[in-house]
Amino acid sequence: MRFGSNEYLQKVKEITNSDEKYEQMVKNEDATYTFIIEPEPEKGVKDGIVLGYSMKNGKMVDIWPGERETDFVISGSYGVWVDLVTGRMGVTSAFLQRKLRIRGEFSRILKLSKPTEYWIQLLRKIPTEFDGVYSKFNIGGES
Amino acid sequence: MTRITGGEVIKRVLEKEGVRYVFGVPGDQLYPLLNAIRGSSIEFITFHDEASAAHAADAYARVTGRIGVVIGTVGPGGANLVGGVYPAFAEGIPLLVITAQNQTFRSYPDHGSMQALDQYLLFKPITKWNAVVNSWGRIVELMERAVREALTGAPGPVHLDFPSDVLHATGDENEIKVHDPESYRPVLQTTASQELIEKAVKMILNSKNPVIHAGGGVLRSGAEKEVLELAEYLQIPVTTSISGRGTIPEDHPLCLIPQSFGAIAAQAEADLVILVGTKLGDLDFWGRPPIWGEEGIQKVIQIDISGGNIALNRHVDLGIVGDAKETLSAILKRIKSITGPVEKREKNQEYKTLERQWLSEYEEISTSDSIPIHPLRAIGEMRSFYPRDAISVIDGGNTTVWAHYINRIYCPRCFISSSAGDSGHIGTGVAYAIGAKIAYPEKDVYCITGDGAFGYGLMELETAKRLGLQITFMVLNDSSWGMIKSGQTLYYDKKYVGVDFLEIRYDEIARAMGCFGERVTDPKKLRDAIKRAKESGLPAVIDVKIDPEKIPPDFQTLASIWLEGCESPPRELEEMKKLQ
Repeated sequence: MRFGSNEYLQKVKEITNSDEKYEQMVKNEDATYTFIIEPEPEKGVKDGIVLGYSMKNGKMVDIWPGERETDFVISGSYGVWVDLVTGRMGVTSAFLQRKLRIRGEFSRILKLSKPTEYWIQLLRKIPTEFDGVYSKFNIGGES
Repeated sequence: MTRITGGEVIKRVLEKEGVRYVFGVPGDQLYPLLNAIRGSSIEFITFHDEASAAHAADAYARVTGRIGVVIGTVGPGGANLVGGVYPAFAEGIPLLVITAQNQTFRSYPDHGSMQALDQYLLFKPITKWNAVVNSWGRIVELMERAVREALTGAPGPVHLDFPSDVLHATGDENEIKVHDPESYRPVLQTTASQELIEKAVKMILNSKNPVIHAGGGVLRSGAEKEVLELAEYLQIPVTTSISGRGTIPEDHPLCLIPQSFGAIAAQAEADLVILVGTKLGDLDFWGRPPIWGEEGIQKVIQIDISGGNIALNRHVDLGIVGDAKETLSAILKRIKSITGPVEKREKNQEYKTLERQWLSEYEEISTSDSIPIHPLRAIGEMRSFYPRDAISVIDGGNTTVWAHYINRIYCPRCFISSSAGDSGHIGTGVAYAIGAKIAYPEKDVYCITGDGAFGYGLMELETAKRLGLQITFMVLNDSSWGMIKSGQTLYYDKKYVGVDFLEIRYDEIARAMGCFGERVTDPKKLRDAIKRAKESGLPAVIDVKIDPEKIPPDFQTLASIWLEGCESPPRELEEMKKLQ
């Protein structure tokens, strides 16, 4: 399924909510997030993606396309998100390299770094198709 | 009338300066200086390699705060010194580097002499100041000037090049006067103007969430007491640069270990940063967001002995040129006259919790019984064996990163590591440990090093043995250039180039040199091995076979700093296909 599509987002929610370990890791970390995935037309990624989700008691209660007011806004280019999802780059490393920009309380982001690294691993279970030149990194997902 | 050589004049200036040790490798051209040192209050410590001699002089300067002195002969001697002088230059360590040169009548320019080398130009970019001493009559003047340059303002190495005919030349000792240091260099440090102090105090007292970031300049100034007192009085958390480690004990409630999540959060969220003796280099992420706050929003006071360091990497709201100790002392005195102590700051506990979260994983691994031995287990055993005031020398690539996680530093000038410093120079560890132990023979000195790094200074085990220095060297042996191999593992699909060594028994090499040597392959035997090493009374090598597959978790972040602006190394497509 296409990275960032509605189908993909629903799968993200399903996978997130079916993992008990992740639930335990973030059960006391209620928050809302917006991810801004910026287009790279020169690399065949014409459209950006904006999506948000909310976490409560360790569960993803909602996930949506588009922008709403959230606790955190995390933005970066499409290629950086591909690197994250495919495991080429760690989340903390991406923050420290300024490849991901963050709006929100930085100390909370750091606190959530390990759960987030784990969550990104979960996303690799989803068969994912990327746009443009990044299609070579498509993920087969969990068999 | 007594006639004395140029070498004797040099020795007399060094004696007046209180120099106890000259480190180096002898050479023909240096005979007059060596002969002058013989039987004097100065001891000449001979090494197998000039770079090691310079590293030892450098370490001696780092732990004592005094100038280190190193000598080498013309040509190869001068060239070999370079590797030792460079880290001192990068990290602002006061060294006096003395080289012999071919005779005045056949150098500058050379016309075919053996060992000819333009050492003036060679040392120019890695010293604060240098000169060729072309006359017996100018030796005192230029020696005094060199010492002044090394110790005044931002310290650093200086270099004097002595043609051999100047060293051998004699003159009437009554023609020269060797002065007390007070008469040729400042012995008291500079304080900022009261106006700047007042501005700084106002900014600090108006701040809700300040942080102090202390660099190596704090240690060189001896300002650790003032940093701690200011921090405790106002409950300000303290972070340090790598070279500033030891400013505050790393288990102090206000200390946030460098690059820990606690330190990063405090630096990012502070409304005021008090930078002391640091230029915010790459391991401080250049002072940029997100590790630090946004310019214009987060205020910065920078205190530095060198005006050139002010706003070098980040604009400041108040730049103060002055000695760290004197300036902080003035700030503290003024603050105490205005307000009482602050009891607590809400955010501090949150930062400590983040630090603990960052640390806990490493501490847990450091108890691992796995075989091959995890590097953190070996490092943890070494640190916990030695007392808090032991001098800790760290050397290597991955070894340095692993050590950063759990080799805590508890006192000023107890941590020496160029591999973690601005030069990133590996191979300094053996000689650094020797220099530190010479300075403080009563203190425990231990060195944790990678095997690649250890190879640089291996022959200096003989130096340590000859000098009767009990130092324990723990070699984390993965039979490779581990850090580079890690990069090739992560980014080049394990296609290794130039990173593997043969299996070497460093413990056996140590024993061959009359030192203690023991190999450890079982983590449960580490503690006893360290104990036996110390009790041997000898220089000791513990060769620890570590797990070569382990890569420090922050490797990727470090690589990204060093390769910033470069295209990401291409992970091979085959690797990506594994995900499909």
